[in-house]
Amino acid sequence: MPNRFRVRSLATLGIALLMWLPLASHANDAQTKMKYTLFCSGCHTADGRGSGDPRIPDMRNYVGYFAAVEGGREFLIQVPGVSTAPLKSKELAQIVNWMLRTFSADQLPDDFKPFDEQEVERLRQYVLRSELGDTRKALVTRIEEYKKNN
Amino acid sequence: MKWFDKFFENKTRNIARTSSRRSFLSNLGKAVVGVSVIPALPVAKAASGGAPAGAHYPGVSPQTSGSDGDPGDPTTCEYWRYCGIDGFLCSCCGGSQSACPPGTEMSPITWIGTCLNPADNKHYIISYNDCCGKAACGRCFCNRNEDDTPMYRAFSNNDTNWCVGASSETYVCSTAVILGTSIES
Repeated sequence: MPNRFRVRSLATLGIALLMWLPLASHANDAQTKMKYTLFCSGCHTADGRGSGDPRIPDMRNYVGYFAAVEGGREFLIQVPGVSTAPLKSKELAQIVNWMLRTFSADQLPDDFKPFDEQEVERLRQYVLRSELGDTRKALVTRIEEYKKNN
Repeated sequence: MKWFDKFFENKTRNIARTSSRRSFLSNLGKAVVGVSVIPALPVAKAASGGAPAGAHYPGVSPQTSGSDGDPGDPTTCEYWRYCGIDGFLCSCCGGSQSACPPGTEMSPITWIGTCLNPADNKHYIISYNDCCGKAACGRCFCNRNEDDTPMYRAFSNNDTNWCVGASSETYVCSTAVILGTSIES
């Protein structure tokens, strides 16, 4: 019964894959955390609290709000520290998703969709420079309104 | 003076008899090249004391980490963790490779790189936190710059004064704190 054998072996393979998946994603998290440490934590510090300097604000229990307001998703990728980082878009997507989950999971909107490589690649083509401060100010105002309504 | 003339005539004739003009030229050539090459040999460099391995700053005694897994002397520039450092070594300034001297404040922001630990052949993530708030230490200057990037990539440039994040911007010395091991991708 070669057919039945094949079905069973496929099922076994599937179960094996399922068992392996959590392990694989855990290994990825360690990788992502390491890249955050190497490329971001020098200024943002290991726990995301920042330096106290207003140019490096505290991300804890806050950065997730950006994903909830209009224009915030773009901002998260177009801030110079993200868009100009010497990293591939796939790695950047993993790091930003990891930061949002780790530092500010409770502030993420319920329908939050993680960033993927294509979206990061598209968004990072534009880098916020001189308008960075004004863009952020406008978003913070939007976040304050969002907080009142949610 | 006849004996004087005789003496030099004999000597000259002796030299003329036993040597050729060509051998004189080849020996002279060897001497010229040899003298210029000897200082370039590594042995000569170590002997002359110009930035030799394990050199000590005057008045600073050797230190160890006390662990076989962390080899070398933290008061010398050759210590493995200093592969990307640029500044005075806190180990020579009353602190250590991972702690600031008393009375100074460790900058919360810093530049981060990786160094290869010769003990286990693994790359470690090193944070070069500056210590701030007193007069510059001035001892054990060390500038290795491995993996240093130009100023326009400020977050991995070691010429930045990272004391901008501390309450005093006066730079004292630099540490090399281990944050973890680097995982191969």
